[in-house]
Amino acid sequence: MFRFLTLNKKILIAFILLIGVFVLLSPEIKQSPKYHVLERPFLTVTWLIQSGFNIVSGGGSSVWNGYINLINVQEENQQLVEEVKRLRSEVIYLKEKSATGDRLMELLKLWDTSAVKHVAANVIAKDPTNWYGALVINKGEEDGIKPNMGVITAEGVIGRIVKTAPDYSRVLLLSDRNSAIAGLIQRTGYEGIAEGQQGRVLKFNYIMTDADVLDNDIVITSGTDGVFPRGIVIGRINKIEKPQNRLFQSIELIPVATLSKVREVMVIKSLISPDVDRLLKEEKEE
Amino acid sequence: MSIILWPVFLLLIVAFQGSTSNPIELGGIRPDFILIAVYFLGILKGDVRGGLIGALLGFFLDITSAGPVYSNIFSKSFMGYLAGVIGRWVHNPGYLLHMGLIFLVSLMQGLIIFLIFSFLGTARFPGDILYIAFPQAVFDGFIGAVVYSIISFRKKNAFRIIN
Repeated sequence: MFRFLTLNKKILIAFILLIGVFVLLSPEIKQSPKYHVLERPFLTVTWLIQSGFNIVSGGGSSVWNGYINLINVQEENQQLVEEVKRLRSEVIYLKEKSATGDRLMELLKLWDTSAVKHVAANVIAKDPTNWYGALVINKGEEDGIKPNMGVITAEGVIGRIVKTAPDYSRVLLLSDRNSAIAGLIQRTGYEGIAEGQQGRVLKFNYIMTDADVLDNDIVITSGTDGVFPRGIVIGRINKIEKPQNRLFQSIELIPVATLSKVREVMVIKSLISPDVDRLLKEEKEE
Repeated sequence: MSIILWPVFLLLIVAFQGSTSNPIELGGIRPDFILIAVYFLGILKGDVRGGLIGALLGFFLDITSAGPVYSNIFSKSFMGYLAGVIGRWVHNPGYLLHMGLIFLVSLMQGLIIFLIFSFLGTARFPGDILYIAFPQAVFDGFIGAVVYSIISFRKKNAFRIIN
């Protein structure tokens, strides 16, 4: 290859010029909400290889877990049967609770957050460096995904979409230093901002020193940022400091979702309440 | 290696570095295989080629990373060039010396990224150094020593013939 480059100096110069163009354009390219046309071919090839890695490693682990590593399966099966029995009775109880909730919501005309539209996606890659918290998912503009949409799992908040291409998108994790999500303490309702620290903990800022906050309080999304609906779990309060002569407390949060192990996510496509949706449709029809 | 195999090899390293199937991780820190590759290519191929290959891999890394600017083009090309210079002066070093040198090169790269963050106003001191740059440098050094052992086992004279 090096001999080839020495012999073809024009290619080398063209390559250096191309890098120069990228460097000069870098802030514009990097901060754009859409992948640049020059970035896409390389990214597509890389993510195809990464998808291949995932298929191979997924196949390997399924062979190991399904055919080789079967120790304790019988015991585990018995435990699961017991668990299913317990959960069945719980489902019956919760169905009744849900029906009561629906009636009350109808009565109070509240917006049902479960009506939010989702798209399920698989994680195909993560950020190659330790300095940024980001994932790549296998859904993009063709599936209706746009920048600034919220990304969640069954456990809680994961992050938000920052960049899109037709068939893949980049998710900025809530642990990234550039990430901020509007949240509130579920027990007391105090509102703040959960900010990433590029580590395992988040900071929960702008909570006054006289506010009632306890260890293990749950922080949920407040819904005021227009990215997440209200009520999705962000994390659990881990450490509280009330510095003297300061306006705000210093609070640390542990995210509930396991950000490093996440493989499937859901992208929140629509935050419009059913009532607003109906009014918009009526307006269009007129 | 041929003109086809080299880009495929480099592409595979970049893809593996960001793959969710990459199992090599300790306490949320992954070693920088691209830096290790640039280091050894610099050592084996010389400063200019090391710098060039560093720029190419840094460029690929910047495209796949969520970083705000194309910073790896500079840091990796500098590291490749530096490795080439090290390769010219240090003859036939053992795995302990490689471990130490990769540790230093990785720590230097961490400091460059930290300076970029400081410039952008998002740096955390001492957290970025203590919890990201330093553990990664230790990890890179260890993995680098393993890679060195594999290369020298496969090719006995790999580190004796230097430019």
